[in-house]
Amino acid sequence: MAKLSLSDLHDIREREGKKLKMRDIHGRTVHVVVAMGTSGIEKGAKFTLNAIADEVEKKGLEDVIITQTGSAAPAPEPVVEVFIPGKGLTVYGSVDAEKAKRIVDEHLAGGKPVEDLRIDLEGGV
Amino acid sequence: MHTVADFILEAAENSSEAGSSSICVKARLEDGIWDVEVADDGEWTLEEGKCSTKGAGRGRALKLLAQRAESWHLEKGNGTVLSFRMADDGSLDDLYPALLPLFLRDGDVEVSLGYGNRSVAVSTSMLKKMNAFPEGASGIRGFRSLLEGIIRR
Repeated sequence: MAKLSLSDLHDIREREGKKLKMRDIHGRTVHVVVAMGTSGIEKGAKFTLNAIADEVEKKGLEDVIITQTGSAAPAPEPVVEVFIPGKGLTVYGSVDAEKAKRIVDEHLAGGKPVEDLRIDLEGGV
Repeated sequence: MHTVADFILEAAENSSEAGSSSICVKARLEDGIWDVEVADDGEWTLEEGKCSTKGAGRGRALKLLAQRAESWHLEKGNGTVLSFRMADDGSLDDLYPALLPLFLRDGDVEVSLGYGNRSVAVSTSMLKKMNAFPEGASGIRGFRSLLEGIIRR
């Protein structure tokens, strides 16, 4: 077997790391995370999460896993993160139920991030 | 304003922030008052009386709970137990939207709700066995069907 270079090892680690991440989300390809801390709940994050789940169910999207995390403050909540292996992370802010449906329709089902809802997680809009 | 269902969610979120891997929610409705207990295997990390919005868990939600609840108590030791009593506001009438966020989290969750002489018990392991764990469209559909079929108040 040929010797592996450091670069080869880095590539293997990255590839296996991505696979591991997929196993962490139970083999699904799309991971949606809704920030659900105290401030998120106050701003309606629960309705956002329910709207995402409803739309995922309606669209028949099997490859999506939805989870929640703690507060995303000071980012404009409700905050929704969409991670797709190979495509990276997209963060959305001020996501109410209507915007949540757009994210599912246009990004998860349609493959195109919703640019007017994107935010930079560290700096806000 | 936080509802009863929101405070249960808040308690569960704080349990996660405190590093718990399993959460057990017991709630009973009697004479218009919910008696709720959220027990977990996490660690109390805050000094008494301190509040924090993230990381250390339990802080700000407890402040809100103290304002809204008729009474509340936090017991720490081997794992922690947060209990509170709050007037019913209807937020647990429809189980699907109330419990969905609770199960869309890391770790195992067990929920037991009692209404008079009726009760409902839902757990992560039970949902997985019944293909009703809310992952993917069919899982969410299964979860909804299960909860809509369990109990109607």
